[in-house]
Amino acid sequence: MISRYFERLAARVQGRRPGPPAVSADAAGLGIGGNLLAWSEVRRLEAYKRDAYVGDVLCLAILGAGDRVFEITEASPGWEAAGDAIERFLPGSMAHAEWMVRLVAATPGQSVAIYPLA
Amino acid sequence: MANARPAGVTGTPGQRHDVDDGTMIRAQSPKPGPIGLDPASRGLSEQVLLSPAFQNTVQLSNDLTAPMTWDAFWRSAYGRADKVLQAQANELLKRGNITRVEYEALVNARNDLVTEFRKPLSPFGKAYSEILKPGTKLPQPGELLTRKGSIEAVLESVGKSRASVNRLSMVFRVAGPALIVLDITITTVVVMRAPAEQRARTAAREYTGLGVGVAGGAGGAWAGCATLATLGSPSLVVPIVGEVTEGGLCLVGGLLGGFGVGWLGREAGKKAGEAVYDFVTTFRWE
Repeated sequence: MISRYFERLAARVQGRRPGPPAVSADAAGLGIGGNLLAWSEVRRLEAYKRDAYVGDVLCLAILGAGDRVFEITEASPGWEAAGDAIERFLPGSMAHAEWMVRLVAATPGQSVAIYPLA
Repeated sequence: MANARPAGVTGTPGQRHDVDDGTMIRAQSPKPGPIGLDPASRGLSEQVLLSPAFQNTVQLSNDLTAPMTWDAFWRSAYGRADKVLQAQANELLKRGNITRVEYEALVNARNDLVTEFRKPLSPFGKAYSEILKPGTKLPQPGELLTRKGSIEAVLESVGKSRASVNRLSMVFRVAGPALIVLDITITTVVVMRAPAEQRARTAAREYTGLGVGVAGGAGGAWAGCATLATLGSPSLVVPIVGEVTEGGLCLVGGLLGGFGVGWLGREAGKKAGEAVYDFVTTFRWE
């Protein structure tokens, strides 16, 4: 445990902190890390900004079937492509460009409903 | 020179006082002040009572908070700059049709803003910003739900986290500048109270101590943050995982590290300042 601690400390000091798992999207659904969420299972999408002390991080919460909740961020590899895929494969969702602009316009604490539209 | 008078015994020729013959006393009244001290030889700094406990408290607190104050002002500045971006985005939304080029320009401007505002942060500020970023460990299916209860709970926790960071930042923005001014004032008083022949050496010691103390505080805050935050890494030691826990540990570590290393830095700085002064004033080209 102690050696694992020092390994992690060294990684942090050297700026090698592990990033979030990649997000992928195709006709089958959203792949988040090792999990696949079919488009038909997506029940709700909500975008928001998380406070990062100086600056913020754009995030997307995904509510799937069985009340599974995932959170992806702009730091996740594949974030942009996932945004485009949501617009393409999830009829009734807000356009990618529009929700990103709404997210930039949002004041801290506000969230943007992407799917279903309010 | 103010309050100066020619040296010599009072009443001797050459030193005349303008004393009103009609008054009872036949000598010039002394200036008010403590008995036993010659008021003419006392400067303002000598009349200031400076408690060593107060001096140490202010100096150690300033070593600790100076870098955090710096970061807190950058956070505030980012908030103002972000409002400009929000206004631009709202203009686009009002217009209704957003082209891909406009969208990309806005998002790029926002990304540049975040990057540029993080550049001048102290090492602690950069580390804390990194730690607050989510996603180093993506929540497993159901984990987030189990932890938060619902998507609303996730959004609520985001708001709570922002509110607590806002409060912390406000404290540093208010208390930080006051401590910096106090520290500089106290350091100056200490220098001014030193005997004239020791003043330059005392100045070298105290101001170097101040500078190195603040630098030590900045380094210590970063080291403390990294050391304690790593304890809060998911699945390592603390069973309750998450960015908030890691962020909290970073803050506590930052405060402890800044305090300890700031103190060491100030003491080392004082010694270094004296040594450099002694070297410079006694150095001779052979």
